[in-house]
Amino acid sequence: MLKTTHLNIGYGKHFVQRGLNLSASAGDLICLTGTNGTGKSTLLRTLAGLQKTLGGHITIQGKDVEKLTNAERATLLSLVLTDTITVENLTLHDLVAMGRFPYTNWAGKLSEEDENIINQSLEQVNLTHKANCYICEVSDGEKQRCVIAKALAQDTPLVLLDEPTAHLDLPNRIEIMLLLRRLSVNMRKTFLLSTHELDLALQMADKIWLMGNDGVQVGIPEDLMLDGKFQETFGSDTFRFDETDGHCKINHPMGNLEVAVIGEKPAILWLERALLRCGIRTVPTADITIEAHHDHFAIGDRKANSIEETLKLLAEK
Amino acid sequence: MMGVVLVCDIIFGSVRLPLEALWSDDILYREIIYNFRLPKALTAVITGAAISVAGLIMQTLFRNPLAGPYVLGVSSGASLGVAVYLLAGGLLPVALTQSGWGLVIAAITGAVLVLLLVLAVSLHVRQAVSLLIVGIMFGQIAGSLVTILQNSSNPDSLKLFVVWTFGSLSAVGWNYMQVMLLLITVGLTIVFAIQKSLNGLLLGENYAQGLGINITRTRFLIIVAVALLAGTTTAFTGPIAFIGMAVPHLVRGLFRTSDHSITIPGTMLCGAILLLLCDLATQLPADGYTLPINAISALVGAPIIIWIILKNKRTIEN
Repeated sequence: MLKTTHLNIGYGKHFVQRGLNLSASAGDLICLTGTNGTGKSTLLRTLAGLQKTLGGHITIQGKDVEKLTNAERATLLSLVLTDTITVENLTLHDLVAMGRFPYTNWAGKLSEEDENIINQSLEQVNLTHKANCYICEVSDGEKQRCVIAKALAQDTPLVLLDEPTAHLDLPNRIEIMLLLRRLSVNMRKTFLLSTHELDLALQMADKIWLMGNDGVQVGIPEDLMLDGKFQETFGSDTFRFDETDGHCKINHPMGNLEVAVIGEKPAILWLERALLRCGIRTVPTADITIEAHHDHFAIGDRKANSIEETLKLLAEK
Repeated sequence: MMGVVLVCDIIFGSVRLPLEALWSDDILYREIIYNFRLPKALTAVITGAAISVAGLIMQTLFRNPLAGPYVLGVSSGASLGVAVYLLAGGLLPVALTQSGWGLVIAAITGAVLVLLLVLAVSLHVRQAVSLLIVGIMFGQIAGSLVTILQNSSNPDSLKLFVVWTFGSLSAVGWNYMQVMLLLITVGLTIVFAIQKSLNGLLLGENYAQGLGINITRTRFLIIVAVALLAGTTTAFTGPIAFIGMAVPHLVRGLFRTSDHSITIPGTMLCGAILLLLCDLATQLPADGYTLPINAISALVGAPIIIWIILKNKRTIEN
């Protein structure tokens, strides 16, 4: 569906990535992730035709994107960008209606079919009841869903989204990802989104495009994690990805204090987290041992009722 | 409403006419109405509509509520043309300076020159904001040249120039009117033809491009349309302040929409009515004395702009 061959991207004479060979199939939800400056936005902008390729080819459904006119390209891919929309007096319906631009006449007159598609798109993102609200009156989450509805109304096989979950709170971030997940399955659309939300990406994506300084690693989330590619790409001494659950753990030892921890779950888990947070290493052979019980903690003969008190006891030592 | 204002504008003037004058056979009345009042009222209608639409599409292009037809240096360019013509006129051939067309041609030349420069830059600059700044800079340069010219010219031609900058709707006779109407019609036709692209531009250039709109071509057409609309009116009537900037806001507020298929005709109508009202206001002192139109249009336009800023502040705080 989407295919790049030996694609070079960058600005002017400055190359950001070289020789990218990437491909996506219909119905894929692909998360593009990586550290800042590795070219996530540049890749999206290049695929979208907003900036020129510096060599290589991009094809969508077999068509060379660079040879298409703007109007033809707009029927193959639609965009959800980070650009803020600040139009006064624009209703959600009218914003979604703009998605029909590639199909309407010079005056932009909407046919009955166009109206149907607009209504369906609004329904897909659960905004039918707000169709006549103005864009400046709705929340950021609703605004983002509306822009996604605009992209749906554009009726393209490929949708590119640049950090669609930035600036949203946790429930909205999850809702947007679930929405994309559902749409990719139901409508067989391909979604390619850049994101810094590793947790969400790992749990929702069909494929991860992991951008490093020297190319892109492609694979399903679990394989990339198992092969240590995440650690490699984001590689740093200050945190590591937990090999059991994929969450990142910050690692910042302070001082030489080492303790051993024994006891029952879940108390022991949260105690370990607290120690990690305070920069105290947990080593099984350490001199100090903390026992975690379901209702109290103990260091030698001293007892503490909460983790906070335990930390205070440790501080005294 | 427009009809009423139009009739009022024809009746009230330095000589007040009775309403019957509109259909009376009195040769004096006919003379006044046909040769003075009617052309002036029509000029107000055309000018009001044209500069307001120019303001509307500028605000859309720059996505900046305070853009107006003059930010691209149109009025400064026209002023420079007129200043060269009036203040350094001694150097030009007599045949050109004697006919009334000289002033008009000078103004249009000045406006078009500045816009051509801006247009050339627009092909190389991606960001509309940079283009806005370039336009303002060209305007500043033209303004400085005007000041230099003023400084070194004789008092008589200086007075002529200053009077031109006051703006006047009464200088357009029937022979000028045809040319003005033709150029404005071409400008308005372009604007109507690109209304869909204008709507797309509301979302910003990236989104517009994503919707299949050719940005370079649209931007080119917008600048050509502004040159025709603002350049022509400035040439014939002098710079008329604030109307172009203020009217689009009034219309978006009145109709509660940003859709250009509504705001373009709405802006034309409101611009025409507002300038007619301004023209009526210039005749308030009555009996042989009128105020310069530019003073009145600023008195009307500036409060509207202050209101916009206060309103925007409120939305940001919310």
